[in-house]
Amino acid sequence: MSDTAVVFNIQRYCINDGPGIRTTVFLKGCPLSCVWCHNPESKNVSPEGILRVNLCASCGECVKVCEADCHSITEEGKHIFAPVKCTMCGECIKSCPKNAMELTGKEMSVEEVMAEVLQDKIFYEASQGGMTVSGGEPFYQSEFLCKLLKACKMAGISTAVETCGFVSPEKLSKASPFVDLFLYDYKLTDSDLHKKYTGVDNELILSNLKLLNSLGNDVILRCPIIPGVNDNEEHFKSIGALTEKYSNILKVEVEPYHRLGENKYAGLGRKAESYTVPDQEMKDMWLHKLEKLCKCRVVVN
Amino acid sequence: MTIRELEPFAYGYYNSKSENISMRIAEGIYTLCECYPLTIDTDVGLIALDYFNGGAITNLAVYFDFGSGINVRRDVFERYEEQYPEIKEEIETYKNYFDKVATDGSFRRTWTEKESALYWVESFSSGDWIGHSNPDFGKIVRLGTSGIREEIENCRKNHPEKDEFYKASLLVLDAIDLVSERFKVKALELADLNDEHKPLYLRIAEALNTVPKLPATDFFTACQSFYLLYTLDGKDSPGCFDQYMIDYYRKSDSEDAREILEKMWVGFLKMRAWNLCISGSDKDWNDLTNELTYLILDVAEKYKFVTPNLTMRVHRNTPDKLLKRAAEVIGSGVCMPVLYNDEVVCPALEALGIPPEDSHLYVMNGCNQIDIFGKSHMGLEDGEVCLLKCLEFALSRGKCLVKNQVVSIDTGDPAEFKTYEDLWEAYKKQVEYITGVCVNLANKYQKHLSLNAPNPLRTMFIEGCLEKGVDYKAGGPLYNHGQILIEAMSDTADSFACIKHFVFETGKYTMAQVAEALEKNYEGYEEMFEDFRKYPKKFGNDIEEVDNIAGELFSHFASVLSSHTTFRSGNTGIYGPGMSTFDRTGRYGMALGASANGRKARDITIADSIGPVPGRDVKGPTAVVKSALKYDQKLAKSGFVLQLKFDREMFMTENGINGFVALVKAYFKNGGQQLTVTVVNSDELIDAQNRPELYGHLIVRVGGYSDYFIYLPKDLQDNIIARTTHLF
Repeated sequence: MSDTAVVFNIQRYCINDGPGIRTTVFLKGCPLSCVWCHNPESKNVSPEGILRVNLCASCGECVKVCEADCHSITEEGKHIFAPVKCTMCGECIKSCPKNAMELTGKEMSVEEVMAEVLQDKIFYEASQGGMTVSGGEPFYQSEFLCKLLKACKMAGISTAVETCGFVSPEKLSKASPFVDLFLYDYKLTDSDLHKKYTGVDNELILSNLKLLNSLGNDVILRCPIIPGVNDNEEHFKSIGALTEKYSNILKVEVEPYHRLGENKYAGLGRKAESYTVPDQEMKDMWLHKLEKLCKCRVVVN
Repeated sequence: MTIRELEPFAYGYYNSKSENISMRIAEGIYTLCECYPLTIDTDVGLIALDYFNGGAITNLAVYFDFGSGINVRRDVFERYEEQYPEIKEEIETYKNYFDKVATDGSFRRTWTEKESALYWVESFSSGDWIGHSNPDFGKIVRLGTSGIREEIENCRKNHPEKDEFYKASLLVLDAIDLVSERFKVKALELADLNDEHKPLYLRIAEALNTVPKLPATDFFTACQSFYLLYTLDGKDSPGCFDQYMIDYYRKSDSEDAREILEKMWVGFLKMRAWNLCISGSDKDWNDLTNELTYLILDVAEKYKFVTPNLTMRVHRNTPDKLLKRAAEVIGSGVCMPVLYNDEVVCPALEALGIPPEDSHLYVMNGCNQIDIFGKSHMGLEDGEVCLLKCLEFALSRGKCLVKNQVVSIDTGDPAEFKTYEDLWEAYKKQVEYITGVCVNLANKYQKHLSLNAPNPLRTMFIEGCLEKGVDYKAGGPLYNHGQILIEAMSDTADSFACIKHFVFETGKYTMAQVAEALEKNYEGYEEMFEDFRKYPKKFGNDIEEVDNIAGELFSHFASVLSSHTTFRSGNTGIYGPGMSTFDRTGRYGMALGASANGRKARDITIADSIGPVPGRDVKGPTAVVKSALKYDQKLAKSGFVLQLKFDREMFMTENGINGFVALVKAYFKNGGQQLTVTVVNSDELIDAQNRPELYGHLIVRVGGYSDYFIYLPKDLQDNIIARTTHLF
């Protein structure tokens, strides 16, 4: 598996995943289960079917062809996709006249990914941009990740990795020389709550952040803020303290909760947790508070 | 009521039958300046002889249009007959006379049946309306009519045989002096009657003591001279306004100048001004940005008008500050300035033999046509050729599939095409044939206008004309090349790619099947339709195979054009290609039969300019830009329009602005000629379609210009919605 990885998207012209214009490679599979995750299709490492709810006309063609009873149309005409017994036969995808069923996740080699990444080299050069690997959790397929990062460096392309930090320190150290910038998630200060909302505690995440500081890697701290979960003084103070402690943290990026992933949950046959979407006033307040507490620049994405 | 008061232009023209054509048009202009009722629009604060009354159509029955020459409106004559029975006979005489001498519309009557048939199936267009150019409006500001008079007298000495030509221009100068004198009297009259605007009227009257007769001294007098000439000339493109006005701006109080410019902007909107071009470089690549450049951007952002078409020239030394400011203005919803790349345009012009000191004077006129400011007549719409129609003919032995009528040449039975090259050869012959017809008619039209509608007014403001004693339509200017626009190039490339793959690579279908499927509009060929439609190798996705086909189509067309020369250059200046679809996707789409890119007959979803077919690009703006770079854009001699659509949000953040600026830089550094950006998202557009009352402000760019979305026809609205929105 190490020469290939399951990729669920390669997105060009990304302007919020590190400096300049970037191509972001999304690897599938994540050890965390954050309840607010907006990329639920990134959780499982293997390819899976996803229904694009907006496109679906509830015509029922998929119901006819599916032998594993994954599709049904309710009396109200709603398409329910419950892929419990899905065998990945792909028949529903072929049958859909609206292209509403998709396969998410595709096994790709380093060469194949690089071919796409290289396509935008002129834009990286014009903007000091490059490639960002995101996920999922990129280190979930860490051997591939390292090979991809090396290939990029060889091609003269700058690299960034977005990680949740729940990674073995050895793997992190191994990748470190090939990463120009880490986009490092910091989600919750209270370790118990961290476990409650993400499935794991935050000790490894904090120690890895320290490790990156000692390795001298540049870091942007990315903080998803979910109203009612982590928009509190204690968490903000702790973010501030991290920026005091680690001089390699160049910037804090606040990522306010949004609902863009909601349709994807339905499309995967899962249920989405729902939180309050912060308004501008709330976001401005977060920014104001964090700016006072942090030693580095703070922005709201 | 006399006919002279009613129809001053016609009167002057009619009553000078013994004179030559230039003199007669000058007499018309003179009588117009002598008799036309004057008003001073205090919202604008500048004098204007706008006999077009703000719109494109004047109230006059006979008027002179810089593009089409002498225009006649029968309906106005008929109204006169009812309204003024006492002069009915005279009106009748005028009506019959001008019906014969009108230059607008009469040209097409001379076409052969074959030419007309090809025209009516929209395979080409020419002889419709030509005329944009960029007269040097700065000249009257700099020299005044007295200075120009002196220049004419000097040139006249060298060409005694062309006395009539010079007399015509001198008469037009008399007309300008006369109408300014009338304006002065009018302003003083109004000052006595109106307290509120008295200071403005008095200021105008005072300015008219010197201008336009003498050189301007400050921004106010400069703008009076400019605006009078600009309106009398027919309100074409102001050109490089920040360049020829900067000296006067610097001599004025900056707050006063800002107010003058803002009011002029209101005037530009009222009369639908064409193209105003800012910034640029000189021949040594020094940046020409100045304070007025930034002021114009400020004013454009403040008013968010759809006109003038604002163009900004970009090059290696363009300050980042200016590019970022332009991005902000674009993102504010103005969708302008449109960006042009000196690094591509100037060498392209130099390849035509234009020296660098002049190539760097290029400006846009109309929508996206390129001219040398005050030195050329080449940026007009000489004609258009629809490449997808040429491919349709190649696959149908010259038949229009919509009209089911053979109109073009027979280039062989497609069933007999054994290789991809056979198809390519047939297509090339069709393009060569259609282009030949197009160019031949374009040249005849140029001759027709030069003989029947010379323009002694504009001729004075384009270098070369006075020196040679030749009208600007007859080859007077220094440069007289031609520009022919291409339509539906990406659609054609996508069609070639499908046929290449499914016929000549996989062999899933035969050429005979494809030809039949297209003829039957895919009836009975549903699988082929889906195969072609879903084939992922479509232009705009940065896929070399299909992008290279597009590049070849373009290079071929450019080489065909380069073997044709313009009448007005005395057959020394070649034609070059450009690409801007304007609002014509509907017109071309409706006339096209089914095409091999999985498009059914009469479907209007065809490509906008050099961009991908709407909805066929799925990889975002960098992929579209990379595809566009497969064209050898230096072959383009007119605007080569790439339109990208962004969500407005993109311009609200620092990252968004920086990303956009980098995108522009990368495109321009690697050979892109121009970039047009629309900021909007499709939800907003759909909502605007359903609830137009809430979207009166919404501006979209359509090919060459901006317009209010809610006023566009439904099919065009749909086309705009269908274009991919790049939301990231």
